Amino acid sequence: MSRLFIIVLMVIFAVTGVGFWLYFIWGAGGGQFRQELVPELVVFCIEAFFLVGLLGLIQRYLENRRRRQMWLSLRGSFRDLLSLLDMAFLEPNTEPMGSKELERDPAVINHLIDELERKHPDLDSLVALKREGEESLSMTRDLVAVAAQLSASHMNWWIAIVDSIRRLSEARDRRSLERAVHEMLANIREFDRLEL
Amino acid sequence: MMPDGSYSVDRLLEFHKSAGMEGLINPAVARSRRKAVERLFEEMTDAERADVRELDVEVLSSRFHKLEDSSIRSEALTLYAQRVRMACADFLAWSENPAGFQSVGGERQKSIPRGGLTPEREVAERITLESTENPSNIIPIALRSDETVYLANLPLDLTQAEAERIARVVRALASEDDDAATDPVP
Repeated sequence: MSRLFIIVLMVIFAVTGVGFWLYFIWGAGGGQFRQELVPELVVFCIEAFFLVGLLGLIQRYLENRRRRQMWLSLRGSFRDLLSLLDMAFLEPNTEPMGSKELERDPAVINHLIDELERKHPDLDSLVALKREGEESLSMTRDLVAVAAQLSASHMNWWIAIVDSIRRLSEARDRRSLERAVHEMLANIREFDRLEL
Repeated sequence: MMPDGSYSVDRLLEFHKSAGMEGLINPAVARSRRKAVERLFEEMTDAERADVRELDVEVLSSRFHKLEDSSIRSEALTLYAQRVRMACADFLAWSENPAGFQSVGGERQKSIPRGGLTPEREVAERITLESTENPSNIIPIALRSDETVYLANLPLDLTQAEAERIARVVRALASEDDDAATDPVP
């Protein structure tokens, strides 16, 4: 159920309930209907307001939280690769990015892509990236099932990310390694852009 | 600022603050080291806080199991440890001899600007990257710019005669008139 639909239902039940209540208190005539059926309808509207509306919103909130947690789990799985890239491009005597930023901030990806377009990582960083790619490949591959729980688009972009990590781990020269890194970052950026 | 006989972490931080302002140390270097010391401060023992000569940065790093409320990023911890090590070295040198103090310096630029790579360097890098995939007993030899061959299982006590024997086998495999076709790696 969409959020708007739930809110519309809540408004309908609230307005109807208040209307019946005002009719019951202030209305004239109506006889038995007003005396016996209207209070029942007011109670029904109150119950519907809470059950359909509020509980629906709570369920939706919990669902969103669960999806957010899954997204964070996925996004955090290549934190070490991003951290190595951050270190590779780090200017002397400056602070590395925070762990939280690397795990969840989409702006980090754009920053790393910009850095990669301006600089080459040194050999030590390339070796570290390749090794980390080899180590994280199986883990990221296992997480395809988690990405599939978010949406088909999430799963497709996740598969693309895994594929670029595989290419990174198999790269045998700087050019192919940098290409794989760029591809991985671009795929992560697309993954970040998807709606949760 | 002059040494007062104290080797505490607070004194080390004070030294870097004033050394950065007085120009004894590059201000950016001093600032980065102070931040590194502050980051690692929480796991220091009281004895280490009171006297940095007691501080073994390797041991201190091994005590960390989280950094910035997250699991350890070993590369970040290594960077902080390196900065703390340099901070202690400068502080102790200054404490011993303030008049003749010279800083050990800061960090070097790791990354290479685009266009700063030579073909020779790229070949050397390729060998290193390829060798990461191979076990240590396989030796890569960059034969041509686009071809690498591997020697495996050479004994540690290989003699000249044995090396010559291997060379003879390889020579026997080579065709005779292909000098022009080869593209030797410098």
